[in-house]
Amino acid sequence: MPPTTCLVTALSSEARPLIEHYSLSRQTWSGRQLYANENCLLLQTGIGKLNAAAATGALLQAMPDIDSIINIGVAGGKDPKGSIVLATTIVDAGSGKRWYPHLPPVRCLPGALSRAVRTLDEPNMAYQAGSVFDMEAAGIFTAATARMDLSRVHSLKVISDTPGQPFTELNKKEIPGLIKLLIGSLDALMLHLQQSNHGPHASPTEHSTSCLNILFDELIQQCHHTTSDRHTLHRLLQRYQAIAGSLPDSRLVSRAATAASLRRQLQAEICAKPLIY
Amino acid sequence: MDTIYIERAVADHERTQRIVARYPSARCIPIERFGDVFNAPAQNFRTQKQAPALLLAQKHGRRVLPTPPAYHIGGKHNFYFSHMLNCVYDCRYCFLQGMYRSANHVVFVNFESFFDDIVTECSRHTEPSWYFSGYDCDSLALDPITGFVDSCLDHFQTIPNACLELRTKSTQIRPLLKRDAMNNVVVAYSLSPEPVIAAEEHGTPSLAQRLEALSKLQTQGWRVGLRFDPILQADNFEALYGSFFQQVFDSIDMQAVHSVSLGTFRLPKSFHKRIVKLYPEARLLATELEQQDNMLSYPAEVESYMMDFCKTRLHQVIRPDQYFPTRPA
Repeated sequence: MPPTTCLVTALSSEARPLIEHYSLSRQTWSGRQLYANENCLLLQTGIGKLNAAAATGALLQAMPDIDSIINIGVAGGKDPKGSIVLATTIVDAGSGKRWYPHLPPVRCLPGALSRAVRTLDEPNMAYQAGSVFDMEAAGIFTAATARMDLSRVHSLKVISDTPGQPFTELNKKEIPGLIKLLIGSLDALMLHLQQSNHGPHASPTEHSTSCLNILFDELIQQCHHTTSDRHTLHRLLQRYQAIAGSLPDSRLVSRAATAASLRRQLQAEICAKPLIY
Repeated sequence: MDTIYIERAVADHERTQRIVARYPSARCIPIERFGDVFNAPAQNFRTQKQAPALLLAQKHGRRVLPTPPAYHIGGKHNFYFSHMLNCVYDCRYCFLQGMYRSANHVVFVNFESFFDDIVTECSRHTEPSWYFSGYDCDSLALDPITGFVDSCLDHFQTIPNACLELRTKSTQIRPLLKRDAMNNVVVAYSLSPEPVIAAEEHGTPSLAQRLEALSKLQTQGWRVGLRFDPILQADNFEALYGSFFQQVFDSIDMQAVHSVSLGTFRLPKSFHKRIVKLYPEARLLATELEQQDNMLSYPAEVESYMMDFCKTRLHQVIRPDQYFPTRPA
């Protein structure tokens, strides 16, 4: 199964420690900086929210199986240098647009501070309490939330510059060391995303969904189905599975000669299934 | 509660401070308006339902609204108000799943504004008017956090021509048992057979627990109501609901019950579509439904049979003036 979590960074100095830690290898994809192992991907977008949005959007278009995105990077803020920050709010300082990710439980990331991340178009030294600056998060959220919900997109930052040591004084060689500080929190966040996708309250299991989709694909090959027929058939199969606890026998339903007769047959079988409480 | 969003306008409100103090380790996130979070696109209701955040906000605009025509228990003037949006329980038939994008809980901390509006509405009527709480939430389930019941009852004590229905599945009845029963308040319990509770009403108290709470309230003199709504279709319908009604009749003084309402499962078509997207595997949503206007409900003959069956059972133990069908029999 392809990896479904993608880490997104702007700079190579942010990406490098993660590539090393997770033993990621370079992938060939559209000239972009993409790395992968069996569990996760890493996309390096370049600086700025437009680069971040374009690269993230292109990746999600090309790899629709990706179901979670974590933006990793350095940020400026009033908290002590090296503090780990989980974004509670993403603010695009240019447009004023905001995103509120559905956050994991506090206990998942015990050391992380909860802060708003303000995405700026230019670096700034007007550090504010309660929020941190970056230059990509809003771009990543713009692209990612077009394809996934707010429980699957997060931004995890480490404070690199502060009023006492502004970004103009930041030595870029420090960045890998700072990023290493957030790997523990990142592991915890990735585990949370993985568990919430497969836990007892998650959507129907991949197995039951894929069985249904296999049968669906088989049935629509048998005879002509319009788009509307396909929607109706898919829902009938879901209803059958919900009521009967299993899918219909493909040998029986595949005998139907037309889309309409198949639907009638399934409908009749659904009505005949007992519903007992 | 791990995450509490707080509108800046209510950050210093006494009720906000009290609620926040209950969760010292929660992250508190300042926001301008609750709608920025609650109505945002790209939310996952199903995921949020597992660990909802709390939003503390101020309710603006119309706070007391007329109920739909069939939503009454004998009063002529009927209104509902929602000091909260969303419910701690997870009932698969609930319209809230289809109505809101978010499963987070909103508490409007300006209870007093609701009460002021109720007084204003009361002054427009010479006959008693009814106010229903629990339309968009469970009236009691979050009471240990909100303290709503005490505030509300203190208020209704001062306006005797206003009647209040607190609708619930919760057993959080301590604030009611701590005080004298009030004649203008009905505590109404939504009841279902235990197998239905187990299958469709996730996280709710059992039937036995609800009946015990009802019994305690009745013993202390509170007027109680029973809400058999929604009644669900099943192949073992007669056995299921027959034994259920008997269990209820054995536990409650039915003659003393203020009101009994009855209705079958139905949902607006658009809500049903949204809920199916959220829970495609839900058995209840896979049953055969028919569209009447914009509502989906059981086929007319099925619905009629179910209503007749229940009505017949109920009328063995209650008077006609106690009975309020929310769907015509």
